Amino acid sequence: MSGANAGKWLVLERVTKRYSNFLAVDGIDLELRNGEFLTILGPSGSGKTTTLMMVAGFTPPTSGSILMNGRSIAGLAPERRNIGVVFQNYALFPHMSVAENVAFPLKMRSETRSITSERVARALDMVQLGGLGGRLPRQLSGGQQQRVALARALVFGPDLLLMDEPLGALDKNLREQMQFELKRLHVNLGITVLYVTHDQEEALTMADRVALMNRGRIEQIGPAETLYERPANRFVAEFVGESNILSGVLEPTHEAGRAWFVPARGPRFLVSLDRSETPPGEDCLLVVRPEKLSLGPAADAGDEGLRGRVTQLVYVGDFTRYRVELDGGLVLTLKRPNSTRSFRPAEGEAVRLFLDPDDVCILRDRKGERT
Amino acid sequence: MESEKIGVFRVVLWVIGILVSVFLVAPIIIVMITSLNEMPYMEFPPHRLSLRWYRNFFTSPHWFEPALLSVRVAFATAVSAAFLGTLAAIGIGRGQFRFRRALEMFFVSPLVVPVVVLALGLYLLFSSLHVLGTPLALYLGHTVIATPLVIVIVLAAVRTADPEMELAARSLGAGYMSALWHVTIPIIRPAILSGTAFAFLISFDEVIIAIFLGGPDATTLPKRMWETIRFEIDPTLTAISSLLTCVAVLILVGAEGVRRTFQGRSAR
Repeated sequence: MSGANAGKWLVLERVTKRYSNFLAVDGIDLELRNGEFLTILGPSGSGKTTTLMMVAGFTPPTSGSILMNGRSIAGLAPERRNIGVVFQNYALFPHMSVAENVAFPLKMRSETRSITSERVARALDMVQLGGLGGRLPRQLSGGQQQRVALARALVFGPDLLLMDEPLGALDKNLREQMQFELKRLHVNLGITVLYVTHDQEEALTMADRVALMNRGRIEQIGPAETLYERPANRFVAEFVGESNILSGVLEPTHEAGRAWFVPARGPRFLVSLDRSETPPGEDCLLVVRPEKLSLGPAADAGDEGLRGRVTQLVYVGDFTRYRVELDGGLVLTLKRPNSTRSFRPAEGEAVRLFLDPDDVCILRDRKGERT
Repeated sequence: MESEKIGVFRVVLWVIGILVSVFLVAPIIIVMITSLNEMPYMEFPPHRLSLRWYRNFFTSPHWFEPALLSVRVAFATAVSAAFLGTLAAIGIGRGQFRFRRALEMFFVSPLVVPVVVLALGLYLLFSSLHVLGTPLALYLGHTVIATPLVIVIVLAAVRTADPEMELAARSLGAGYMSALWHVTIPIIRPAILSGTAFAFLISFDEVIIAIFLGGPDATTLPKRMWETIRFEIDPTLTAISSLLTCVAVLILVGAEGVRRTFQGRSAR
């Protein structure tokens, strides 16, 4: 058992959770290395929280096995797994002070009074709440309560930290600040973290790797960059970031590693085949991120780019979102930064649209299959 | 026009409200005033004030012994009902077993079954068990009617308490019982206290079961009052009624005070 799983701290093998007639988690495999920060990202109902609850021991899996440090934890009650859990609503005990909350896991482990008070103080300092130990949870702000929950989940030196949408109840600024702090704590403590969120920005900024779940399955797992730059399928492309997704067919060119992408309507254009597994001639999907497209004036000499017209323009502050209709009726969305020097066409203006063949991703068109 | 209508409506509502309140409270006030009367019959309004009927209650074994029995039975009932009711409420509120809704209905059913029916059933049961006429019979009978009340009150609290608290406690190293003791019960403690207070009052005021099960020997205060009023008009009754009302008010106010103290500790 240990040979194949060496260096893998937490291993889920074909873990399934079936409720009476609903398959919440559909045989997933997942491996976390020691010290890794892995985020399960997914829409609500995708099975991500159920997965977390099974690791914590609150929900028994219907089948499959969960190993921690090479040992199965299937039969272990939650209190014997030594796993810290941070809940979305913090789940602080309202009748205990902050210090009593943080001391709770140590009390359950029958630590001596002096060790307890020393470790509680250290844990509160760690989350920058030193001196607030005497307060009650209700006297703290949401962000402070979140820190208490974190201190409580870390004070007993858990082998694994589980976090279920821990920043979901905080406002945007606080959320960003907490993201940095969580990341810092993770680096400082070297603890293995399994983090669940539906917020892709949170997933992309904090995690070493992201597992995107949908309908009880993992659609793709890898570093944030891989999910964004090379989505494995249409669901990933649509869920992570914004995408232009066009269907069409590939036609061969004489250029090596390139092909013509011919959309259902509109002009054809060259794409790179580096990232494609689709043979020419077959139906496929083209994915291109809005910020990878660029615009130029229509009047420029030369024959490069695709001709079109700006049909809609939305100013968003740090960038502007354009909708450009190409000759032939194909509509693409673009995001361009609002710098003074960049070309900023007005609504209705004729433009040229440029697309680097290497910035696109060609996916097999799996119409009719589950996404 | 519209606001005028609302104004009239509001006045009518106030008048109705005041009339209903007077109708409800007046008998209690009248009894309380009458209890201060000096004459050996009930006189309202009293011409001369005295506390002789209160003195009579506390000094006469005819009254004081039933009162003591009532307190003992009510105390035992309150403790048992609080214990059983809390466990039942936690089981129904947190359990994942089938038929827990049906079980809840069953546990709460003594609240809807007519007390006379219940008392008759208990009478038949206890007579074959030879416990009729003992304080034990009263205690058991009262526990049957008081426990459902505790279940209803505590279950409401269990259902509003966040189940994640218990999961958090478990993940932090507490076993099931430990999580219950250190987390769940402290959170629902205010409801347990109100439930206990109500259970005490239910038993303390109860007369039907006391009549059926008490026999000649185990006589509670409400039963002695009922017996007395059948044969004579003793002004002591008005003194006792006033005292009972005060006890009930004090217990409920006390329970509310304790509840606020606990909440105050978390809301301060």
